[in-house]
Amino acid sequence: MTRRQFEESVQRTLEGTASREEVQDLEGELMRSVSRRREFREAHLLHEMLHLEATKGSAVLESARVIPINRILMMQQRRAVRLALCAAAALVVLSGLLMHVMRTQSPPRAIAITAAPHSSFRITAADGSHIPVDEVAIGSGVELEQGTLKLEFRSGVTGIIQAPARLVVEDRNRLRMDSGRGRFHVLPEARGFTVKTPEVHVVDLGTDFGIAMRPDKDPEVHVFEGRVNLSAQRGLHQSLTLGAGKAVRVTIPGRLRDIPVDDSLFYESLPADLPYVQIDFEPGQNGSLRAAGSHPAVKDMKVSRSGESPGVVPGPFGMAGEFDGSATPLTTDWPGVEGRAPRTICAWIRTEGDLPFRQYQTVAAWGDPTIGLAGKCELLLFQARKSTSVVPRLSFDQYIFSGTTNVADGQWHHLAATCFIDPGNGETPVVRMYVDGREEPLDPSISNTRPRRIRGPVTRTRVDSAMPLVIGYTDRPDVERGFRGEIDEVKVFEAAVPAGRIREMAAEKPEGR
Amino acid sequence: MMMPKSEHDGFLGDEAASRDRAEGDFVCQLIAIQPELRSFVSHLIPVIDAREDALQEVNLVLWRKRESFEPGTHFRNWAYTCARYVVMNRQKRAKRDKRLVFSDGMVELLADEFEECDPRMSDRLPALRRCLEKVPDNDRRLLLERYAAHGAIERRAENSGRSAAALRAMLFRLRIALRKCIERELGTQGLGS
Repeated sequence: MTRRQFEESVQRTLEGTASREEVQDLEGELMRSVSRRREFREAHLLHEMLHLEATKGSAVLESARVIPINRILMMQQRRAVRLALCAAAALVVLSGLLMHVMRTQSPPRAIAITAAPHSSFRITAADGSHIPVDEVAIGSGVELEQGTLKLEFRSGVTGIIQAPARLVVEDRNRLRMDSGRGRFHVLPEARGFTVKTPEVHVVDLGTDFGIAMRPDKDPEVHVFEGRVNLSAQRGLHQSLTLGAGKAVRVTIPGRLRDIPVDDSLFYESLPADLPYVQIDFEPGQNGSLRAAGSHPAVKDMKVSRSGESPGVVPGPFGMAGEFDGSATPLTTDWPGVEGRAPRTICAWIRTEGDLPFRQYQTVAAWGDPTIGLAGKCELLLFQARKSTSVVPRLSFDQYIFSGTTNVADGQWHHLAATCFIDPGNGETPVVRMYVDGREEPLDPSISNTRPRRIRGPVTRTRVDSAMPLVIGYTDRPDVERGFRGEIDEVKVFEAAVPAGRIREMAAEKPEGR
Repeated sequence: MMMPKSEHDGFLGDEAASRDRAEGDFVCQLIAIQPELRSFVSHLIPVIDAREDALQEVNLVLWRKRESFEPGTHFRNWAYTCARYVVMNRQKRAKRDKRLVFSDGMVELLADEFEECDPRMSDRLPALRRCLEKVPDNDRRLLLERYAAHGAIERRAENSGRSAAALRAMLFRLRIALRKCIERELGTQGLGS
């Protein structure tokens, strides 16, 4: 079937005018080629979109209507008069403003911003130009790519904002928050402080509250002290007053649904580092393992083993986890870094080179591993065939990045993988891998950096099919993924850690190990 | 005379209100995914008349099974899974009646890839609008009239003196060009090969 025959056949199938034989031929063609199936799918999607566009009173259809020439001339004449009037008015207003600026000194800053170490952010003026952090003022925009910021309003509000976040300081006591997570402590004199998001407006009534806006999730509001007034900005526009210890989710239809309050989502104060979770395999007093790190989730995080597995043995930094390749991961209850947020996974690992062939060995993973969703995030070891090297790999499912260095040599190695989504390049994830602090060239033959997907990897967490952060084994999509060897000092950063910091971590290896 | 409500009445009232709210949310979500669901169902069924019936059945099944959907999880995935079962069941009946259907393998493959692609109209409509702006006025009107009203092609054929077949051929060409334009806009062209 030629391309033209195929295209026409698809069109006739859409219209319901294809014959039985033609449909059968089309099926044969579709079975043979993934690109033809994509075109077939896209044709149906276009069919539906055109239906939507045509039946909703499309602006495009409206613009196609013929307008008489005398009406156009009249419109142009009116527009010219309007423009002249506007220009005169603007001149008067500008002159007034100029006089005002000349007569008064610069007003005191309405807000001060402090960044946690290693944070990455941009401040823009109301006209969109970039400005330094000490010039932030009413109308400024804040784009926090990674890390954490403290906002201090002169009105008496302190906010701790976590990346990725986009904000606009609308007024001395009002913030617009398009994305991100923030916890706000409001002094009595700043009562009435307002956070506006596209889905909900929150007005403080003297309190401490948090707002979480995460990709592919309904926005949430959590109140820790005092009360806030909430009003949904979509659908049914439900509103209510929410008291301490309560939280709600703003649903698509504009309702406010009760959920458990969760302070592990938010920082109470500016952390001393990028947010990270660390599993160091050091047993506590009762022999149980724990999580450390700067992430707000660490304080309540549960870390558990299956009986005595994985084992705990001496490693390069005190004790390490010993994994025998069986289905016994170290499990946490932390959902992991979600959505498109930048992330870094680091771990020290040791595995022998003479073990029986195993294609996949999980080091650390979380998210939804359902095949085809690109919803998980996993650092693993990969061996394509028995004769090839065992190399590090970062996999989102669909998006796969494999290194080249053989790490199955009985020595301790520091592995790291960083990832962020390049906003200037669609949804393409930018991944860098490191072995022992050296950046790892990717092997294109066992990587897939641009799979056929419209959206990039979106790590799905807090859904039934998702797994929390696990170390040493994942049971999906393949049961033979158990790690064989030792793992130590696993760190998961909610940030793309710079190369220098990775090198420093790799250089921490004690002598003789 | 109005009787005071008992506590029991109040309890039932709260429960009913809660159920109403949950059902309201469910309906809103069901409405929101109709464009994608319609595309999903339609592209699995080669006979145009069977598509609307199948979509109705899918919506009915989703409504009946609403208790099995867990709020806060991905409604879309759940709906596609239910839709796939409905289409497969209809396939069995259609095959018995010797009606035209795709093979089970074809349906599985198309459904898998649709779910993998997980298209969103909200992502695509802006691209469609940009592409429609590039289409000459007359052609654009032909396209949108075809979707805005039944029999638009035939009416235009009568008024313009051109045959309906010629207008349909033009419609096909326009849709093919639009599809390619949208793929360019979305940056997905050729990635499937």
